[in-house]
Amino acid sequence: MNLICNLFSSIFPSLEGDGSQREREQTIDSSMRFAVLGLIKGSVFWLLVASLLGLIVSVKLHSPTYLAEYGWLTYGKAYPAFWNALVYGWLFNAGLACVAWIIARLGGRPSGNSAVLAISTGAWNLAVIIGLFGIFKGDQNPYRMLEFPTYAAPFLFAAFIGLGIWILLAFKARAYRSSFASQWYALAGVFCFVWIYTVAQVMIFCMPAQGVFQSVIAAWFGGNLLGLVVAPFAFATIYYLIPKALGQHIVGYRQSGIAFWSWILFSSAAGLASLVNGPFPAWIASVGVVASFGLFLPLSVFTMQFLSSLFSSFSKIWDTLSVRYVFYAVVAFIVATVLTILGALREVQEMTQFSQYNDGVRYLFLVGFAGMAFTGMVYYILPRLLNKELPNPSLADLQFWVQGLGIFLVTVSLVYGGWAHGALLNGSDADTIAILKSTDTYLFLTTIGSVMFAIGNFAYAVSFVWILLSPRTEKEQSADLIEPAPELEYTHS
Amino acid sequence: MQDDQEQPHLPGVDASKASDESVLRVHAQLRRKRIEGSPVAFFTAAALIIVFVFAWFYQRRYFAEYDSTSVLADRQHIAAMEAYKNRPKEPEGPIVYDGSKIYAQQCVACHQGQGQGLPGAFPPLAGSEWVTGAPEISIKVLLHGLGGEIQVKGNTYNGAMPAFGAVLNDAEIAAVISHIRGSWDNGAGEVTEEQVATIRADIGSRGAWTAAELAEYF
Repeated sequence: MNLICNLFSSIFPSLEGDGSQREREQTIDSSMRFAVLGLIKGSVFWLLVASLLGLIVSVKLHSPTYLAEYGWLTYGKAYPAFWNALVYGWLFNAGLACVAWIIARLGGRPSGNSAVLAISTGAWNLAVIIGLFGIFKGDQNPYRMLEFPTYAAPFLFAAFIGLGIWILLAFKARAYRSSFASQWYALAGVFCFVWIYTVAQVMIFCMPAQGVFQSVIAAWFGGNLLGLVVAPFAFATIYYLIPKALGQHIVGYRQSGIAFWSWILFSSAAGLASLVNGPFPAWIASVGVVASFGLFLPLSVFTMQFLSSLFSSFSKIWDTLSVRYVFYAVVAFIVATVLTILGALREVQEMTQFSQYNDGVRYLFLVGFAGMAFTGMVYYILPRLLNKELPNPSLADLQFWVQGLGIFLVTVSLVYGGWAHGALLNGSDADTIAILKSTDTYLFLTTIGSVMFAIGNFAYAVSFVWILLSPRTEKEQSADLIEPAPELEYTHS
Repeated sequence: MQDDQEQPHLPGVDASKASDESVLRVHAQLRRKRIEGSPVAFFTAAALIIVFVFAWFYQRRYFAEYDSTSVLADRQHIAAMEAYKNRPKEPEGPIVYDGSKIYAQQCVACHQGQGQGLPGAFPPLAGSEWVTGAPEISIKVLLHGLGGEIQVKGNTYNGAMPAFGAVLNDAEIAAVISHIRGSWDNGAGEVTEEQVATIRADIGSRGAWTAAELAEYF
């Protein structure tokens, strides 16, 4: 009976501010509790689905007969299903949950229309289900990250419009007039997704552009989905969590504007670099290469800002669960962006173009950077939304290490294995099949990494369900659990 | 440090170390405040310079790969220099001019492909008594041109044939005249480079010929 009550109260929580000191923050939290919890629930569900699909994809690479009797689960369907569930399912739900919460909190006003957010969340997840079903059914489109069949796209788009409008309204209703970098990145991600998704859908499917130009648009969209939508949401959480959970202002914050605009500028063309050696005018791919190299500018600013801020309170990083995730995310971002910049050069692409290298970099960027940042933020949000302690912090501890090692293993084996594969293809006259066989070690390592990542995700899901359903303790029932935050001090360094 | 003496926070709940309002306020202040000698500003500037230098050299190398004239012209010059350096040191025999090629370049526009001319405008060369007659006539016409009325195969033409003496050398004139005299059933003999050279030296410089001046060679 208790379990049923808890289940009900976690779905329809009604925790009003009870006159404590942080009444204002509590009112904001309670105004959007149902909607943000819905987004987090969706993200955890899709994370489990994605890690299962990722495991299948990884095993199929070195044991092609695995699950070969299921026609709907061939590699050609499981692979796009994995990436789409990862991005549209997990990262979008998690990222929007973090961003919505940040916008509301920084705005300082309770949300008046969180029903919009909740309904759009439902519609978004429905659209992802339709899209994945379409992929398994065989209706997928042949463009990376646009594999969802055309009949899923309008739902996805409409749902995102609802989510985006909520974020814009929450920003417009803010009580404090100045803005913080987290808010810029949140709004940029919203606007950019509407922009790139419209352009891609119209120019590839509705009124198709002529010939190879469709591939140019698809490469542009694929790069932008990572760089202009997922990454800004992750930047928003990192910029927010460092001062909030460390009590440390962002070092070198004055340069944030340069980082923001140069990231938007260069990242929007960096995806074209993947067209090198294709049937396109050389300048198109060259614009992509130059733009990728331009990412060096925002990268250096981000690196200085994030690492300096984190290192100035180094001893606190490991004691604070969410900041630990942020630290991992920052390191993963630096490594992934350096690999992106180097991987865009023609000489490197000649080696890596037909190998697993790019998948490894993409995995590190999406899972190691964005995914870890969102997970850290969710661990910061959850106790505040539910007014509960994490029932088992050591489970979250375990999750961090297992996930972290799993991501590291997958990335290293894909990137290094991809490089070795490409080098062999270019530099030896051995049989292609023999060369492919020689990379089996790396593919096995990838599978081990995927298994570890899946275990970490399972621990995450258990933590999440546990904190949802655990009964409130005396302390949690009687008073506000979270103490009021001190003022951040302005120190002139 | 003082932090170590603080009460440990709740398990699994990261303490808030800053209120939202103060995060906004402090960072707004930081944005307004210029900090002298900030390492972030220094490295940002360095990165900016590196990016621009790379972009400049990269676009010089690749942006013009297929469609720019400047880089292509540079490469053609280099290729031409290479070819000149690698030219054969000994000539590979006497140069032979192709009369039909010169005819196609210089004559075909007026006298047409089969030498039939255009009625009323340009006289025919096929079967023309001026062509099949003495070679001096053709040589002189080519060297200095022809003006005024001329009777060819019973028709009168009144035009101006341009002079080719400055455009073509002796061997080329000989080749094209030999081609004209040998084609289209004209059946007249060949003309040599020496003949052209002699006549060119005899005449010196002068204007266009008239038909009356040339008629004495029949």
